Amino acid sequence: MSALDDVRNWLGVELPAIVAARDAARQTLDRLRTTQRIEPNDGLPDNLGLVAYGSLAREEWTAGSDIDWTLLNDGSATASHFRLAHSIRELVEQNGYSSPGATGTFGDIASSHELVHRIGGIDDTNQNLTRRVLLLLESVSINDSIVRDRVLRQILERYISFDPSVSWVAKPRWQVPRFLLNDIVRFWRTMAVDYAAKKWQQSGGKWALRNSKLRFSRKLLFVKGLLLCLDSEAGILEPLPSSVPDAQILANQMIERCIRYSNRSALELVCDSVRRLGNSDVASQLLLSYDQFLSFMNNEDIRKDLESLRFDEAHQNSTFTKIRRISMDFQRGLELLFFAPNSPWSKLMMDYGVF
Amino acid sequence: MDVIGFSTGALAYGDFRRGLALQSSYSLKAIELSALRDVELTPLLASIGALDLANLEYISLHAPSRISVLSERDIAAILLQNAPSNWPIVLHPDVISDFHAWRPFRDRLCIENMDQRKPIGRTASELKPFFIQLPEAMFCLDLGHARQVDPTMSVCYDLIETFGDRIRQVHVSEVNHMSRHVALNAATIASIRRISRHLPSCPWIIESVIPPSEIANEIRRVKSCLHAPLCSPMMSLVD
Repeated sequence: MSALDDVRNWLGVELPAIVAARDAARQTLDRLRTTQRIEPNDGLPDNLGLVAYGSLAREEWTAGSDIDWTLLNDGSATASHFRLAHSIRELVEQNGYSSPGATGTFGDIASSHELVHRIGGIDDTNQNLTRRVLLLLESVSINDSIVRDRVLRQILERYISFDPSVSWVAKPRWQVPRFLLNDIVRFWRTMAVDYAAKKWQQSGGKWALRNSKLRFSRKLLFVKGLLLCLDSEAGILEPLPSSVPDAQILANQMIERCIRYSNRSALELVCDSVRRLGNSDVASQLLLSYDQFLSFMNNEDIRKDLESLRFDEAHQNSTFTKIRRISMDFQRGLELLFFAPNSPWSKLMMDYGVF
Repeated sequence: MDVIGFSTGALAYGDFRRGLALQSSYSLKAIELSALRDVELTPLLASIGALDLANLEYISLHAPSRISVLSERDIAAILLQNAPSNWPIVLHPDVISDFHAWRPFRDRLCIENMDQRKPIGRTASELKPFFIQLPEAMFCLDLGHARQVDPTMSVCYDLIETFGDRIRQVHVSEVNHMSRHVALNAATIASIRRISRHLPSCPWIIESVIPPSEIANEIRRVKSCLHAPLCSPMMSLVD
C-alpha cells in the first residue's frame, strides 16, 4: 500500500484531488511510453535519456499541466542530437500536450557534464541549478531510466563522496549531507527570488499562479529535499543499517538511499513522514490543504482567474484569498512536522536548517 | 592471490587458439575460452583435446551471446554434452528464455551482469529474477559493465552485496560509451580499486580488446586494481 493510501485510511478522508492528480500522472506517463510515445520511433542513442520533470514527475497532473522534458546527454555530443530534440518537441505537440515554458530550462538537450561538474561557482547558472536539483527531487524517465539514474548517482557522488567533512573522513557515520542540503536550500530560496524577478520582469503576468505554486508545490519540493537530507541521519523513513562500513561503501549506501527517496514522490514522503510523526492533526492540516490546492489547479476557471489577477486586486479576490488561507494551514502543518518537540527531525532542523 | 587471464575473444575474437597462444608468454593461470557467436561453439568444443591447457588453474567458457543458427536449447545441450564438467559456463541473461534448458548446469552456470544497452540484467534488482529461476547458478561480475551503468560504483557494490557469495569470476576492462571493451584507464582503475577489496578471491578475466603489444601493460593495470588499500572517497579522487 502506498503511504498516501495508508494516510487516507488512517485519517478516514478521500483526498480526491491528490488521488486524481496521482492517477492522471501515472496514466499520462503510461501513454507517453506506449500509445503517445514522444521518444523518436527509432529510439534514442545509448547515452541519451528522455526525462520528465514537473507535475508529471511529482504525480500531480492537473488540467493545466505541461510536459517539462529534457533530452539528457551522458555521452559525447553530436549535432544529430539537435534533430532528436526537435523530433521530441514535435511529438509532444502532435500528441496534444503543452510545450514547456519559454525559459529554455526544459524542452531541450541537457548535458550531464554541467550537471555533475558545475555545482556552485560562477558557472553554475540558474538553469543548471534548476535542472540539477529537479533531476534529484522531481524527475522521472520516460524511456529506459539507465541514463537518468547514472547521472543522478554521479551528482550525488559529488555532493556526498567528494565533499566529506574532516570528522566524517576520520569516523564515517550516517550524517546529513550538508553540501546537498545547502544546494537544496539554495534552490528553494532561488525559486522564491525568481518569483519576485518574474513578477518584476513580466509586469505581473501570472504572478498569482506562481505565488500559489510557491506556497504549495514548490514548497513541497523543498520539503522532499529536507526529508531526503535529514533522514540520512535520522533514519526515520527508512532505518539506517546497524553497522557502518568503510567511508567509500557508506558513501555508496548513502547515494543509493538518496536515489530511493528521489524515486518517491514528494507527497508520498510527506505522507510517510506524518504517519511516523503519528499526529493526525498535522496530517490533516498538510494533506487537506494540499488537496484543496490541487483541486484549484485542476479547475480551468480558477487557473484563468489566477493568471489574469492584478496584484492590486488580489486582496479582494476570493480565490486568491482562499489559497492564501489554506496555504497557512499547509505552512502550519510543515512547522509542526519539522519543529514540534516530538518531531524526529526537529533536532536536525536546529543543527542544520539555518546556521 | 587471485588468478588472472584473458578472454580469448578479447585477444583474438573468434580465434581461440591464437588467443590462447598470445597469453601463453605471460605465465597467466586463468583463461576464458570465448564462443560469442553460436557458429564458433562446436569448433571450439571439438578442439579442446588439442589445446595446451595444462598450466592453467582456471578455465571457463563463454557461451554464445549472438545466436543466428542454433537454438538456445541446442546451445545448452551441446555445452552440457561437450564442455568439461569442471568448466564454468558464462552466460548473458538476455540469451535466456528457456530456464529449463539451463537448470542442468546447476552451479557451473555463471550469469553475467549486462551493459547499459540491455534492458535486463544490469543491476541487482534486474538480475534477481534470473537467480530465482536458476537458484544454483553462480555470478560473473563484469566490472566494466557495472561501471558503465554507474561510474560511482554504487550499482557494483550492490551487486557484490547481493550476489557476493555467488561470484565465480570477474570480468575486467573499460567499457566505453559505445559499449566496447577497451583498455583500462586511470579513472576505471580508481573506481575498481575502490571496490576490489570487497570482492571474494576469484579469477579475474581480462576482456579489454587490445593489441598483443599491450598485453603486458594491461596485466599490470589489472594487478594494480587488486587489493587496493583502504582509502577515503576524497583520497580516491586524487590517488
